[in-house]
This record gives sequence, C-alpha cells and structure tokens, in this order.
Amino acid sequence: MKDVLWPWGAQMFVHYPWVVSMAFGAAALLLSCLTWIRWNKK
Amino acid sequence: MPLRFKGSRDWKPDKSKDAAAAAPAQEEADGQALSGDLASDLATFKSCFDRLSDMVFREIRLAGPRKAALIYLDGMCDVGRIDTDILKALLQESTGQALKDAPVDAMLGRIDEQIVHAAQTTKDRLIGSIADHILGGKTALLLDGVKEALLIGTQKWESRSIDESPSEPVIRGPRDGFTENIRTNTSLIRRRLKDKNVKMEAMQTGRISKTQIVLVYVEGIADPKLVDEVKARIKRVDIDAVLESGYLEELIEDSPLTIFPQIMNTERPDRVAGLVLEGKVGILVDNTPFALVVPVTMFDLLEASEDYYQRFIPSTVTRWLRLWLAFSALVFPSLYIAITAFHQEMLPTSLLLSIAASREAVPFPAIVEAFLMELAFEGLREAGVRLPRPVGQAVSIVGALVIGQAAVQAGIVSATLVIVVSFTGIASFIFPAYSLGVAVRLLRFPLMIIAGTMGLYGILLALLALLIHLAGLRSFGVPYLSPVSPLRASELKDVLIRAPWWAMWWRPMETARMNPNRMKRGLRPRKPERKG
Amino acid sequence: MTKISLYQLFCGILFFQQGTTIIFGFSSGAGRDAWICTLLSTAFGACLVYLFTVLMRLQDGLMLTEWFPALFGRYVGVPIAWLYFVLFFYDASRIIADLKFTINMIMLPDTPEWAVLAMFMLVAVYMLFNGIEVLFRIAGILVPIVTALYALQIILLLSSGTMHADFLLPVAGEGWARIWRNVWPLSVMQSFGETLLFAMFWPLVVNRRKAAKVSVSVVFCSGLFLTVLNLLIITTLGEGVYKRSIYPTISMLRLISVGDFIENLDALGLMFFIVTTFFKLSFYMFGCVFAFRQLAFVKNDRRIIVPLAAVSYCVGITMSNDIVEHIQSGFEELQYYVWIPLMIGIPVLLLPFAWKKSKKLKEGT
Repeated sequence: MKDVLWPWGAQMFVHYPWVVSMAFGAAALLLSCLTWIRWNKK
Repeated sequence: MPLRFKGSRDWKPDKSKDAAAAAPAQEEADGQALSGDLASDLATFKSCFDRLSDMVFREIRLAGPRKAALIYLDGMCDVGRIDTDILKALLQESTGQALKDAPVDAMLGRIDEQIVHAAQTTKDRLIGSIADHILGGKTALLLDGVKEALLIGTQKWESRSIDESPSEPVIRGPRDGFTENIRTNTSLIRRRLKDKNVKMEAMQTGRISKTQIVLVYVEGIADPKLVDEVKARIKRVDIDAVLESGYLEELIEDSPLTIFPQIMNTERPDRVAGLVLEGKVGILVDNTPFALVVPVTMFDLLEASEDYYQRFIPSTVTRWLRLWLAFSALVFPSLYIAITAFHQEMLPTSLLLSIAASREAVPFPAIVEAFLMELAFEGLREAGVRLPRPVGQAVSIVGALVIGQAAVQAGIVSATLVIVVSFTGIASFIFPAYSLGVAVRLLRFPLMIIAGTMGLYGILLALLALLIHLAGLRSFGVPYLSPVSPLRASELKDVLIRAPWWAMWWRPMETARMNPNRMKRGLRPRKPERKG
Repeated sequence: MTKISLYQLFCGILFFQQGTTIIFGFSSGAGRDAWICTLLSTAFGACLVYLFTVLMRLQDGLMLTEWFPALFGRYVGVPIAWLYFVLFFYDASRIIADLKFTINMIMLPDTPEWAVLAMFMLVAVYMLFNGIEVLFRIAGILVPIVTALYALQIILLLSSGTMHADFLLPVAGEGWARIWRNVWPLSVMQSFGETLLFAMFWPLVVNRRKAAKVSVSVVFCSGLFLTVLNLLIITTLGEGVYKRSIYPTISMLRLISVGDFIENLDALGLMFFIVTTFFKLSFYMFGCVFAFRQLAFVKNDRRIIVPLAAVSYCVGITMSNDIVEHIQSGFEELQYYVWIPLMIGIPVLLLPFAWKKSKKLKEGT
C-alpha cells in the first residue's frame, strides 16, 4: 500500500499536484457522462 | 408439519361437508333476526349458547297466556336485581292487569317504559348482537309474538377495590390507582375533570375478547387530527383478543423496532388527567389497570407526577438528579471499563493505585468482570420480582450483599466494580416510567462491549448513534426529543427545571397548538399589604 | 419537506467551522500572533461567506449543484457541478485520513486503524440514513452542551495556573508579513471557504433571507471561539511549542492539573474533536448524497449512501502514509490547486452570470 501512487494520495499531491487537479476534472467529466446518459429520466 | 389453526398463515378452511354445513349456519344465525315465535327463538339461543353452563334461561308467563323468557349469564349479572327489579316487576298482579288488554306490538314498549325497574335498557332484533349483549352481562327479555328483545343493563361483577398503584408510588399525591374495571377507571378521571368537553369515546377491539376501549381527550385542546389518527390505528387492529393494553401499545406505535417506548402506560389517574389537559389522548383498556397516553416525548417519560405536587425548587433539583442518575445508569459501567482499560492516566494517582490494588487478584479483564456482575445483578432483580412477598425483601438484600462480598473475597470481581454495579443498579430504578427504564438498562450492555473494545472513543460514538436514533424517533408525529430538539425555548422550563405553577402559562405546543393558554397571567402570589 | 430552523442552521455551521481546528490549531504558523491571524481571517471569511449567500439569494432556492446546470446548461454546467461533488468527496475522505492519524496516535494506539475508522463510518452511515433534518437537530442539541464543557475546560485551565500572558508579547514582533502569510490562503479557506458546502443545504432552511444573515453571523461566532482557542494555546504553550507541535490542543490539555486530582484530560479534548469532526464528515457526505441524487437522478438515497461511504472509506485510508505528508499536502498543494479555484475562483466568476440571469428573470415577470 505504501508505495503505490494513488491519484488522490498525498504523495501524488506533493510531487505532481497538477495530476490531482487533472484527476478531479477527469472524474467530473466521467460522472457527467452518467448524467447525460440518464438525462431523460428527469 | 405446520400447525394449522384459524389465524395461522397455513390455515385453510376445511373443505369437508360437515364443516361447511356447520360454519355458515353459525354465521347465518348471527345475522338472523328474531322470528317472534318464542319456542323457536329459545331453541336458537340454546343452540347458540350450547355448552355454556353459566347461561340461564328463565321462562315466565305474563298476563295470562303471554309467554316470555329471560336469558342471562350468571356471574356477569346482578342476580339480586334481576329478582327484585325485573322478575318481581313482571310477575306482579298489577302488571298482569296493565298488560292484559295491550296489543302485542305495544307490549314490549309498555314493559320497557312502565314496568321494568332498570336504569339502562335497549331493544334489539338481531340474534348475533343480542347474544353479544347477553355475554356482556345484560339480561334479555323475549316475548312470544314480538320480534324484538328488550336488553336490560344488569351488569355487575367482582372487581378489585381502588388501591395505590404498586408500580408508581408517591410521597405526595393521590393514592388511587386504576383497577381492571373500565367503568371505575372512567369515573376516576371524571372525578378530576368534570367538564362536558372531556370526551370519552368508546371503541371495541378483539374478535373474541371484545374488549372495551375508551379514548379520553379534551375537545378544544387536543388536535382533532391526532384523535382521528388514534382512532384509525385502533380500528386497524384485527386480533383475536386484547388482553392487556400492552398488546394495543405494540400494535399502534410508530416505530415497532426500537426499544424506546413511544406510548406511556400508567396506573395513575392523575397522570392521565394531567397529560390529557396538555392535549394528549388517553386510552383506557378494559381488564387492565394500565392506561395508555399518546403522544409522548422522552421528557414526559422522565417526569413523575409528584414533580408537580411538591414545591418547585426541590422538584427542580430532583429533576436534575434524575437526569444525572439516568445518564449514569446508562454510562457508568462503560466509563469504568473504558477508563481502567484504556485511559488510566485520567484518574488521580491515588485512586488509580487503589483500583489497581483491588483488581490485582482478579483474573478477568475489566469488561468480563463488569459483564458478570451486571448480569448477576439483572438476574437477581428479575428473579426478585417473582419472589413471594415475605421472602422477597430478605433474600434480595442478603443475596446481593453476600454475593457481592463473597465474590470480592474469592477474587472473582474487584471491590470497586461492586460499587459501580450497585450504584448503576440503584440509578436504574430512578425512572418513573418502567418501560423507559428497561430500555436504558438493556442499552447498558452493548455500550459496555463497545467500551471494552474502543474505550472512550467507542462510548462517544455509541452515544452519538443513540442520539441520532432518538432524534429521529417520533411518537404519533411528535418528535421524541421535543422540546429540546425542535427547540422551543418556552417549553424548556418544564424540562430542564420545574417552573413554578404561576409561570406555566402555556401548554406544550406540539400537542396543544389549538388552545395553548392554561392560566391567567399575573398569578404569582404577592405579599399581602400591611395595614396600618 | 424537511425544514431546518435558523437556530439549527447556526449550530450546524458552528460545528462545521470548528471542524478539525480544535486539535490541529488554527493558523499556527503565525506563532504567538496566531490570534491576530484568526481575527483577520474571520473578517475575510465573513466576506467570503457573504459572497456565497449573495449567490444563493440570486439563484433563489437552488442548491449549489443546481446553480451550474441552471446557468450554463447541460453540457457546461453539469461537469462543473460534478466537480463540486468530487470536491466534497475528497474533503470527506480527507477528514477520515485526519482521524486515522489522530485517533491512532493519541487515543487508541493499539487498536487497528481500519476498525476505528470503520466504526466512525458506520455511525456516519447511520446518520445519513436518518436524514439531514436529524443532523441539524443533533447540532442544536449538542451545541449548548459542548459550549458548556468548553467553558469548563477554560476554567480548569485558568485554575491550573499554567497560563502566562507574557507569551503573547511582543505582539507582531516578527512583523506583519508572517501574519498575512498565514491569513491567506490557509486560514480563510480552511473553515470559512469550506462553508460553501452549506449552499447545498440553504434551500432547506425556513427563511432564506434570514439564513443568509445567520450564516454570516456564525462566522463571527466561530472566529471568536477560534481566537479564544488560540489565546489559550499561546498563553499556555508559548510560541515555539505551538508552531512545532502537530496537536497543540492535546499538549495544552495535558497541562491541566487542578488540586492534584483532575489531571490529564486530553481524552476529553478528543471528545470535542470527535464530535466536530463527525459533524463535518456528515455534512460533507450529505453534500455528496444530495449532489449525486440530483445529478444522477437517483430516487432512493439508500442506494447512494452505502457505496459512497465505502469508497470514501477506502480513499481516506489510502490517502496518506503519515501525518507529515498529509499536513503538507493539505496546507499547501490542496489550497492552490483545488480549493482556491473551486471555492473562490468559480463563485467569483459565477457572480456576473448569476446577476445577469436574475435581472433577466425580474424584468421578465
């Protein structure tokens, strides 16, 4: 566990902070697909 | 092989011919009307009351050729009154004269209005309901040629005299408690609230027990929606018998899966009267002295009626003491376990040393010894309820002392723990409402387990979870933690302290929104002016 | 429709803003001038929260994640709204990571971390099942109790004779630069920027105009509490210890010693921490649940709660290996790369759009 670089992990944040921001954005876009698919269930 | 009896889910009606013949015949008979012919009617009743050995059929002759019969249930009737007020009245000479020339149709009416000496009478045609009335203690008078029967109210049965309720004694306050007779109970409330707006609606539940239920509420204070909801829930109950109000309690409450009671049960009429005046609904159930009051908050369950009869300062202090002890009863053993097992640094050094010394010889970890002692205590208490009275007191005291002392000397438990357990035990008796006390006592055990595994952290989380549970409970729509939870500051004066009577102008808003004014302002007593 | 009273809103936000500061301290980098820092942060924080309430009023009854689809439509608005969901989720997991280190280090060193956190998460899930109304109710019940205990602690501290007012001197001796460095961005964002979360709950409050006023006034109240906390810590521990210790409050509480009899009450300080942290976590998770419910059109909350809690638990446990890197990522990278853009950047950018739209609506009617 300790050596894995999780995209949300502190290690990642400290060394490559922009990766984390990208991860945020990517997650948001991915979840948006969920909304767009289900848009008609409104 | 699943049990098949009427009411179990596997029951299927027996398809054989005889059964089919018997059952509908009974159903038919219930819906049938009197035929008018005395002989056949009597035969119907006799078959209906087949093998009821306490049913009595008395045939008489009125005014010449007119035949009549009386049917009553021995044991439920006042036989002396039947003799003097009915039989004597019917069999007198003058009666015979009065009835001789009367037409058949009017005869029953004349008997009812002019001859029978009875305070309550009704008339009925249907065999089924006549049978129900007779089983309830009334006497039925059947006349040959008349399709109606006269039902005379002669109910009387043995019942306990009014005595102090053993489960809720007080130092100051009335000592009459409800009995098993619903009429006595309604009279106890009527004596306290002599107003025509105090309504007592009668209902009946239980297919076989046909238990009478009376709803007590004050029209104009109680929310009509609440009353309707209570009535609807009771009507929904379709059970064979309601032997005690506890049956009803479980069938009409909001959340059946919680251990916390959402309906109060009490033996004291002054308690019911007080709560009814706040807009709540009282439910009296026949054959049990325990009346129900609905809706109820946790703080209602923590109040004793005596709080209102003593002066406000001692009552306030008593209330604080009660809250403190209630909390201890829940949490004290868990705190002991958590602190001795995980957080020893919190104790002052000398206390820590003495606890350590007393726990030296004990082979078990704190949680195990606490569990053992608590279980033993609970066992003693429960067994003590069923001990015969002369033996009971001595055995429980001696038992507790001896067991405690011996256990300490044998090195099974530590002396400190005995103190903790006995204090907790005493604290758990502080609850005026037994049902709430039981809930708290039970919760002690899971809390002890959590304290043993996760210390103070665990206790805190468990208490949080408990608080979450309580904050979400409702009793007939009223939040369980009112007036603390949907905060109503003006009502806190009856929860946190006991405000003096001259300051309690409002009734609780949750139940008495329609009519919140209880008294005139400015009633605080003033010193009389000195003259001269 | 669940309705939340203004008192309950006040209490909820108060606990939320106290959050983890009770243990970690607030603007500790400023040393003995931390209390000045706190006062300044409160002022800025109030402005920030005011901005949030203005946005809320302009949007008229929509919760945070509804603002973006309403203003920017389906293709631009929805991803931005989801961004906030991810933010709340990340913040919730952060809280679990905070807890992981704290409980392990101070309260229960021998108990496995996953068990301790699992218990916490279970209670949080139970809370979620019971609904937001209950959370606010409990906040209303616990605030007076916690405040009373807090006051008791202060009294105990005072009577232990461990406070030295001269630790505060010289005031601003190291210069104002140090103070300002700590006000922005960390102190303002930490408690007050996070209050943006309540934009998810403001529609549920009884009176929206007053809700705005209450929300801003809570900032001042929180600021007061935090200033008092800072003063206590500084006068008891002094600047050096405060700057260097990870858990200044614990060290401070350990110093309480009244009459040789009441000692070592740090476990009680942790009680506060657990309560406020529980509230913070619950609020964040409710935010996630509401956002998910709205954006993914899910009708039954229960289906969201359990998976959400499970994933958050996993993310929280794997987030950091030790507290040092956890604090560093939280105090530095997190601020610039995530919080400032999402909590200040986007709301400020939103303002003109929201204003234009509400003007359009007013003219239309």
